[in-house]
Amino acid sequence: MSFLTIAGITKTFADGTQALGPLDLNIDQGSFTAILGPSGCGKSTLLRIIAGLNPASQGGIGFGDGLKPEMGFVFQEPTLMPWRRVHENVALGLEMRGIDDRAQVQDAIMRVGLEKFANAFPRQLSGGMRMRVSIARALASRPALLLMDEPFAALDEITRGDLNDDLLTVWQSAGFTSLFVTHSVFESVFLAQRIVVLSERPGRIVDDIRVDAPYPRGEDWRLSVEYAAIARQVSAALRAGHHMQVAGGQG
Amino acid sequence: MFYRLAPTILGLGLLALWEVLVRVLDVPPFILPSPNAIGQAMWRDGAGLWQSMLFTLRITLEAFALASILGLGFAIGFTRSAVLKAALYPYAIILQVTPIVSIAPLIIIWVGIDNIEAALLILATIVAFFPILSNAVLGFASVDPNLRDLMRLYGASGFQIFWSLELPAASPQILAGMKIAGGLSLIGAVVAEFVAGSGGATGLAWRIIEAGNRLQIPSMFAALVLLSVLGIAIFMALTALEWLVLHNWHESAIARE
Repeated sequence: MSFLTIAGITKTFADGTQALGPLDLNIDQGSFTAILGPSGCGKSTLLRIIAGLNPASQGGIGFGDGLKPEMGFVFQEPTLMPWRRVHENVALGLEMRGIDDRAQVQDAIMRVGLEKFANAFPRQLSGGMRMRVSIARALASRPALLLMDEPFAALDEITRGDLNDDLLTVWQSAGFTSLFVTHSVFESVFLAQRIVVLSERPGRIVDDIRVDAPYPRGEDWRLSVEYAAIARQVSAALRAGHHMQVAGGQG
Repeated sequence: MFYRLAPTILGLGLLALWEVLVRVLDVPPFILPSPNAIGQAMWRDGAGLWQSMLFTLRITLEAFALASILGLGFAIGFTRSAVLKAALYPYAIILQVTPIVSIAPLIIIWVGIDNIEAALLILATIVAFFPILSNAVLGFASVDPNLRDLMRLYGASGFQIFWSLELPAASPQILAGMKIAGGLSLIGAVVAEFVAGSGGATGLAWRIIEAGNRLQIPSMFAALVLLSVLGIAIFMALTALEWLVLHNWHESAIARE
């Protein structure tokens, strides 16, 4: 049984726009899946439905053991509370449950390499560091599922590369399931074990591509022939979904 | 350093010029008293002025507190219920745009005959209420929707969302509203007292009316000076509060390096 089952999900907005689906997807425990699609294909909507922030119009979300797992969410913007210091931002999820576990907060801050900045305010940090705080906040409540909505899209290329490396390290050591929404082909190929390519609105699955390269992945993976080949395949799928009306939606 | 001292130097210079001109031109004190004469009046009437200042200060602070509680309370209600906002906001605006001087006689007749202090308090509160309400509504409406979602994801209660997100996020606007309301509650208290005349209110405005009736112009100025001092003190106190709350994190309070 898979960790997360998405069955026949559709989303129609109040104004009648069909944003998503129908869409079926099974996600394995501990896997790293990238969801790739053009702007406005409903990939963020899908993530929000999985998180329970928005209801689906049709279909449903199921979890392996029937219980909603602990989830972390990372937005495109760092979305920090500017009046809270780094460690207070990171502790937010725990605090809402009345848990005061400094070791766990400290651990999350260390995992993203910000131990020197635990007492800083967000305004004192660079864009990349703020994003790290955002990730640490998601990690602090020890999520079984980490949902990321184009988290690095606003960062410069070098910072983005660093954060990609660090995200993989954290994922490997912490063992959560990752769903990573992006519109960058190269980012998805670098990070994921599996790339689900969505079509134009309403988003349906155009292709479901496995990436078998072992972790840890580094610079040599980025420069390898296999990397280029998969990137070409993903790009082709993305182009195919650009104007295509996908019939079944099954990958 | 010079910029900080500039207002003081200018003020002292103007006072000196005033003193000199009044003496040289021999202006009679019932037209324009010299600063020296005003100081003497203040010293002579000290005890009475002090009582009056405490009276005005009390009405002002009570009105400010009441306006803050009501303004915040209604703003919270408006944020929770669009119907409540649609129903009540127009009336809040009507209350705001109707000149207080024109409402004052009514309130004084309805309430003031039995209890003049209550009438003054109501009038000053009406004047101070709106800036807190409108600023707080703006502040609560500007809360980052993603942070709201995050709080929901973490299973935060309504109170936790209010206390840990909405209140701090709206605090810059709320404090801006309070800063305006602080000055307005003093203005409201004084205007109300002017309308009430000498029918029982014994604040600084009453001192001004009384002294005016007796052509004791230096005493009028003395009360006026104390009113300004009160206004400045309130403004400074609220500026300090704003600094305390915002200086760590808000753009407005951070010095550019």
